[in-house]
Amino acid sequence: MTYLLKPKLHHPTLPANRLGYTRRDYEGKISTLCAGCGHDSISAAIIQACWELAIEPHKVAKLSGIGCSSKTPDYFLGNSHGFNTVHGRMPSVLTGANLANRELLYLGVSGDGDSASIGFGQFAHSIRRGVNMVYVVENNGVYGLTKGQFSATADKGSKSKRGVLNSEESIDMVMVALQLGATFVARSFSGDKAQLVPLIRAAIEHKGSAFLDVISPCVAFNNHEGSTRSYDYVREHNEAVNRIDFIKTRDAITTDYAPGTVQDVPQHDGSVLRLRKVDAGYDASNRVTAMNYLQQRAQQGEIVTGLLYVNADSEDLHHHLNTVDIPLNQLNSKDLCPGLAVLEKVNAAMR
Amino acid sequence: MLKQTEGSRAVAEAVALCRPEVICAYPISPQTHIVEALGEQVKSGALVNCEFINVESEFAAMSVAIGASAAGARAYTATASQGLLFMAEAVFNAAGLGLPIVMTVANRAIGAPINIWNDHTDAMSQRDCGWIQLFAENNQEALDLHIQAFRLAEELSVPVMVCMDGFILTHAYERVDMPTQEQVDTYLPPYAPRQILDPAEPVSIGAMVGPEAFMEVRYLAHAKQMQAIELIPGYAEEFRGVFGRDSGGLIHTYRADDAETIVVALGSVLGTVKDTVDEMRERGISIGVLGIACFRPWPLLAVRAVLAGAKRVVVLEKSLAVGLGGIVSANVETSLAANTCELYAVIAGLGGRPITRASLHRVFGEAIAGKLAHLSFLDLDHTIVDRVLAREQQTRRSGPIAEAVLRDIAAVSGLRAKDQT
Repeated sequence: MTYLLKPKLHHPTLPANRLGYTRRDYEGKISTLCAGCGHDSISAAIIQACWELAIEPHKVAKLSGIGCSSKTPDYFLGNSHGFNTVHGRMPSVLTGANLANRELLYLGVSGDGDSASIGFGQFAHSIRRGVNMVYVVENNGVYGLTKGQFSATADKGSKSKRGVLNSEESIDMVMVALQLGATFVARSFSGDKAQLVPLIRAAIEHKGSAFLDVISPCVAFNNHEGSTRSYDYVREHNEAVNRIDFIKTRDAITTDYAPGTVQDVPQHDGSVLRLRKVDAGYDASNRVTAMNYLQQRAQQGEIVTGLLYVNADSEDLHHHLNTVDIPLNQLNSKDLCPGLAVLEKVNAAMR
Repeated sequence: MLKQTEGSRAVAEAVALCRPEVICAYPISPQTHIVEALGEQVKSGALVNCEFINVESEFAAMSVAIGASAAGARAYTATASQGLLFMAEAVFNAAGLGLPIVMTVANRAIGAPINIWNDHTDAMSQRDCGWIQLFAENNQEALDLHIQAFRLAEELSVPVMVCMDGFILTHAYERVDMPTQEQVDTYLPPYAPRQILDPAEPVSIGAMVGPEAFMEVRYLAHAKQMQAIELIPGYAEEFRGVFGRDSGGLIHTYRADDAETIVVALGSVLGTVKDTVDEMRERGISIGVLGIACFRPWPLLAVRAVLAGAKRVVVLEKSLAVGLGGIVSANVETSLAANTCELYAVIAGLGGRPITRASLHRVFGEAIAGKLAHLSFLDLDHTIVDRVLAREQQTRRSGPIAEAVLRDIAAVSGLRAKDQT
């Protein structure tokens, strides 16, 4: 919890979005994370994406668990709803909130400790249920808040700051999310804002479980030689398969692309998700080939980033449960109790 | 050997001297330094014949300890706060199965609201599950209690929790007398399990027990704790013989023999209480201290004997039974029997709020003057509380309480809440 106040200063040159808000309106408190922390870049990317999409801040719910990553919702979207849950339980609390009020945009922010260790079960089940949310894992391979132990996503053979080699296999959150049926799976790097912001925008627009694994180096405990989550290592091994140009229908498509270099994914609302391919052979609409590709590249030591899989026909938990369109928390007794006459009719049908 | 070290490191060294065979842990403040130091010892080869398992949660930590202990290994883990709550089901299990696991609890408050600082809510939440609970007053006692804990646990086949105040002890650098390996080996015999998963002699552990036998099994857990009451003073005595100092036991008293007023407390706050009592004694006030070293089993008769001559008893406790008041004081009350002295419960230091000598002088003075309520909250800010209660009267959707209190504090301190984003 920071007590530092941030002046509500709007620089006169700050552009306003469709709602008349500037980026400043999407900021939060002053970050207390270490200078250079990848998480702060992700917060900045979330701010940018929400500003660009002209999201109404009061229609966003930010949920997190415990850890450095889970502190970050305090540092963005200061005018949105926030819920800091207990360690690893964010996905469950988010599921409950989403069921009660389907109208909000749910932003689950977690870390590799929160989601791959203590809350692995919660993560898995929220993904397989297709909860309509943007699930961001700020992945640094280390427990930052307890000062640098390996997390479950640390690569086998990766070296800790104290020089110890990790002897255990790592969990690849992207592979797990794909296997569990996530309908939007992406990986990015906190140091690549040009890639990350459109991915967050696309995830927000997606209906269903959108999972974003963002490699976010920990400058204090995992940014040294021998670590596979350092800024240098990720930059050297980052292999982007595509770049997103997220295009809403209201925007004119002006850029020209060479044939075969673009993959268009139509969205529910009629808009188009346009992927500019970096790897011409990559097909982001095929779950199986995506998984094979990721495994092959991981064996080469490469970190594949980009929009790795998206299902244009995705559905969410509310669809599976066949709930009504009105948020459940807005239903009153009149909606819920059809009255004695209806009851008599039902009973009569059974006599 | 005398050395200046951090409380956590001192405990880690003491645990290592006890020759644990399996250590499993998940980091959580303020306990992390203990298992980190043990992890280093295992990696470096300083601690031999020991497996260190970096588990994925506290629930796994206690579950692994249960498996290791059942397989006949000397098992140790450490946790705090939310971690203890997360492993609660397995904590009950370890007790029910009678597995002699030793666990350090670096006492910390329980959320929500999330708070990393010290109080005793975590340990108190597990007080009735069948673990023995020892509370350390200082770092020397914290490290000594671990050596005694393994002895006690393994003799009775009961798990033992050693509670030490988070940060106040775990992160404090103090001088401690570190025992030698020979001393510890003399005091603590090799582990001879009462039950063991042995392929040569197969047994089953974890049977379903119906109404025909459940009462008896639970009673036997209670009987074990009653045996512990008998054993603990002797083990402290033996400890003095080997290590040359007083540590552990059921209770500690300080200037209590003739005292009209006796302050009961547990943990590190006893230091501040004793200093306050010294100052009050200098002013001629008849006051003394009863420190509870063993909270479970509750030393009913030992406490009764100390309080027999007191006119009033002030229980200073770092936990709150919401809806009742004091937890320690409710236990003290069972020891009073026919003694009709005044009993005051003072809830203090929740979530790490400092317990100062100035405040203790005031509250003890009020008790002696007969002006203290039987349940009071040390240094509670009534203005803030009343503000929140008034707001709840005025508006139905008054919002989350903790955030409202923080906003009110900011308003009181001159920072205007509306300026914050």
